[in-house]
Amino acid sequence: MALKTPQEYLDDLRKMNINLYMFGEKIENYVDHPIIRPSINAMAMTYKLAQDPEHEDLMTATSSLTGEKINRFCHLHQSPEDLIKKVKMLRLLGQKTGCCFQRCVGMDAFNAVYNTTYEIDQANGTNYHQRFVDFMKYVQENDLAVDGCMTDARGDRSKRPGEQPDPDAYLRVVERREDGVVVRGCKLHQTGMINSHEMLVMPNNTLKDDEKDWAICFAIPVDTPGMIYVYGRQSCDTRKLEGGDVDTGNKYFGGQEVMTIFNNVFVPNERIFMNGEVEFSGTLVERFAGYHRQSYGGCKVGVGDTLIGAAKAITDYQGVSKASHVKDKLIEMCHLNETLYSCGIACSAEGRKTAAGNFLIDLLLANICKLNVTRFPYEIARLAQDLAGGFFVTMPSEKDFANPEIGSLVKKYSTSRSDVPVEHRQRMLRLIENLTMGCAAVGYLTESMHGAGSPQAQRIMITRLVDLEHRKELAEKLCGVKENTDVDWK
Amino acid sequence: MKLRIKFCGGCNPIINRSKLVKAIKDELGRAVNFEIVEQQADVGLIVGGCPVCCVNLSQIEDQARHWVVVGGYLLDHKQIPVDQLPQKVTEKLLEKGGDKSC
Repeated sequence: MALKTPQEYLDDLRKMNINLYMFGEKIENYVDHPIIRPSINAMAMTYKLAQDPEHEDLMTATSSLTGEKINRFCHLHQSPEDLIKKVKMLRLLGQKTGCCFQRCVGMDAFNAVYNTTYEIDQANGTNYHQRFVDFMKYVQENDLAVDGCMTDARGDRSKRPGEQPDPDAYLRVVERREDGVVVRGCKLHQTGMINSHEMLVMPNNTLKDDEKDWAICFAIPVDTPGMIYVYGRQSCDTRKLEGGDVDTGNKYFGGQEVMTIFNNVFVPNERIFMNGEVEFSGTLVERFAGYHRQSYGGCKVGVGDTLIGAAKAITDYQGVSKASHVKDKLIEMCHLNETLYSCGIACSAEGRKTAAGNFLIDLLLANICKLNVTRFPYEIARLAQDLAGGFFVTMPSEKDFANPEIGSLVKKYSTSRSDVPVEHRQRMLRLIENLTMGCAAVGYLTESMHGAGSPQAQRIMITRLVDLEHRKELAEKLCGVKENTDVDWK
Repeated sequence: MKLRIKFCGGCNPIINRSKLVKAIKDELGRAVNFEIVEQQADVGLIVGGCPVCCVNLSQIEDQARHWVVVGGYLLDHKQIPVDQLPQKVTEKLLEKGGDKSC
């Protein structure tokens, strides 16, 4: 099986035995749960579009491992063109779903683990890379969704993993056996975790020599015994339980974040890709974060496209689209959005080959990309709210619009342009609410801030990657503080 | 005539690619009998949604003897009014598809 159909993907989920809790209760049939299903639909779209001739050029690639046509989400990037197409694919999916579609984090983990394991083996004579190649072939041949799993619970942020009062604050090895290890800990914010077949777990940060137990990278099926999942709440999530389809804003799709608890989980040796090599923990984290910071130059742009579209639509519906300040604000939204896209494309075009053979984005430009992502979606959202007017936070519920006694009055006083059905206005305002302060704001705003690392993490990387002394010397040469031998025409 | 159609991925199209291809098929069908093929086409049509047209031609070049490339409003790098695209593309396909030289 090279490409799985969306139905086959859904069938896979139904077969999984997931130990999931939400609202304090165990959830048995999560695939059809109204709060969860929109996130599954978003992931399913990554399968659907790969089957569509109008999108396959972005959605599929030729495997470097098997030569087969595969979903690009399972691909190891072989060129800057591959990196660029990844960004375009993510933009496309953002446009189609209007939310986080969850599958990029696994792709970013694949590429980081692939080139890091190669370098570990070169340095230490281990065989992690071949194990990982075998795992990747399994993923590609079965078109699996894999959650890239990094962020630990982290306890007291002033203390390192080895200094924590509770050592489980960072996921660690608690038992070593002949055939594998047992791990304990918790990964937070896991995007699309229970919509995935497998998870690829990585250490959270750079580790010291005495922190080998935390330097563990491995892959396991999501329904491995000992795994406990607790579904993360989102703003306005229970609207999905109300039965309507207007007040949810996005009728079909949504994101997903899950608290992921490893309660003494066994990992077999053949699925371990790093085990104590603390000196490579920083490399793995930095590369995974770099790939993921590139991703945001695609996915957030695609979601931004839908918000810009919603802002344009609501100004049309409300009869203000010809006002010059309205046009100007829409242009500003496009400017900000395309700037993010430019950063995603730029760090891809400047990508380089790694020793393992797959391609890595330019880390500086990827961090610039992500730092802009921590800001611009907020400004785009502010402009969308400006253009929408205040009704999107004061509008009565869809049940009031349908009420036999007051419905006609609610509609009468909710009407703007007489030739635009009031329900169109209602739906569009709810979509803007969804994207800027509802369920989708988790992905579009807060995830833009903290996902793939909070802004300070990008600033630290920029400090490391920019040569300020070189720039100082440029200035000193121009103003005569230092000799400038370039200005010699002989 | 054997025709290969290859779409770009469609991440940021400035034209409606599906609508364009439907119009081209209608137009072409009035002029000649044609069938859609994946390989060994007389002529291939690349449908890019924007001028970048990021389809990598070198990866599919051998699937058709000649290629016509649409990238947004560009037809083989030349700007065409959007309402004339179906007709102009069809003319190009007939011209290149009828050419048996390589």
